[in-house]
Amino acid sequence: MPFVPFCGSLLSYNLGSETTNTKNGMDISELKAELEKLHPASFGWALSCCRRNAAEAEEVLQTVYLKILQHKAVFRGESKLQTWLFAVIRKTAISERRKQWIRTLVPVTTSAAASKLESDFERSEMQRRFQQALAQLPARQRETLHLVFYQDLSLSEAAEVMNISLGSARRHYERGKQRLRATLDREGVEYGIDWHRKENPSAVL
Amino acid sequence: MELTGTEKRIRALFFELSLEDHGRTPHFAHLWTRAEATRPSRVFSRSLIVTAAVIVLVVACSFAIWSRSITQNALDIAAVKLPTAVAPELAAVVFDPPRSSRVPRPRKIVRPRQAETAVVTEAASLSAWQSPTSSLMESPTGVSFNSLPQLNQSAKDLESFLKESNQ
Repeated sequence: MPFVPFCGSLLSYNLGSETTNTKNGMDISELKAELEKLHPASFGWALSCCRRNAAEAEEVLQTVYLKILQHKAVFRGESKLQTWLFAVIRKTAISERRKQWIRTLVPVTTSAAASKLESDFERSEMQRRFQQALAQLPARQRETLHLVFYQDLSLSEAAEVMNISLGSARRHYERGKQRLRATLDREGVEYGIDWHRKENPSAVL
Repeated sequence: MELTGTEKRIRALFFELSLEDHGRTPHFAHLWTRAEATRPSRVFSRSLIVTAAVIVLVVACSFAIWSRSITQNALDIAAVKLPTAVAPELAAVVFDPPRSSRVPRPRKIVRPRQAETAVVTEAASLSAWQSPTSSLMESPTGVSFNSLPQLNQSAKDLESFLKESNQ
């Protein structure tokens, strides 16, 4: 699909016109069409930002669309639309989590969210262990891995979404990979053997 | 970027995860419609701003008119009281317009008896005043022309007669 390289910075507030949401004059209907194309990826990213809590991710995504409609989130054309949208989703998720934490004074725990999801979906044993391992990673490392492997973004784009330097993104990426592998190895011997045998047959176990 | 074995494996796991996520993704139209329903009307907010501006304007105007009428009333009171009982110099002291928001303090204590005495004295002097041409308003038969000279008198007699008449 021919994609115009629009762009974007993070949230900014203005009282712009009713029909445009972008600095480069992109119509709201055009923006809506682009958002619809990115919707599945956006939901996946929202899920990652909300620690795999589907209800919370849906709420965050709706809030993001509301911000766009209210011209609180304005696309400025400084990067790709996807990068801008993911940055808005991440900020909104952080904000929503903070609000929820203040309301309940109890932070959402990873294990609670994960256990709830487990009851909702049937997944393979390997996928279950992978998600558990992913949930144990620090947020920055998990987000970097998600953006690179799930969303197919480059490290520089991931750094832009997370509002960190490229060096930091690379460091999170490398450490996240090492930690994920180590966790998966620790989780199950069978899984670990399978992993090592498939990827590196010459590995001595 | 060339992927190593570990990266390929992680990518495969993430791909499997994305397939699972796609199955539970809510419809875009559903979320968008809900967001649109939640959005407050921009027209409403604009009308609210206009209404608020009009209210502020009306309040400001009414306050200005009220303060102007208060000032005008104070000046009217001064204009009414000035010519009646108080001397002009005292009136200037009493009705000195306030220069600040503080209540003005009179610089002198007004004494009503002195003021009345001054007015009475002035009235008396005014009533005693007479015009310098008032003698001309009298009857011509009163002073100058009460007697006539005789035709057979000499010029000297006539001259002396006129002198006496002028005196």
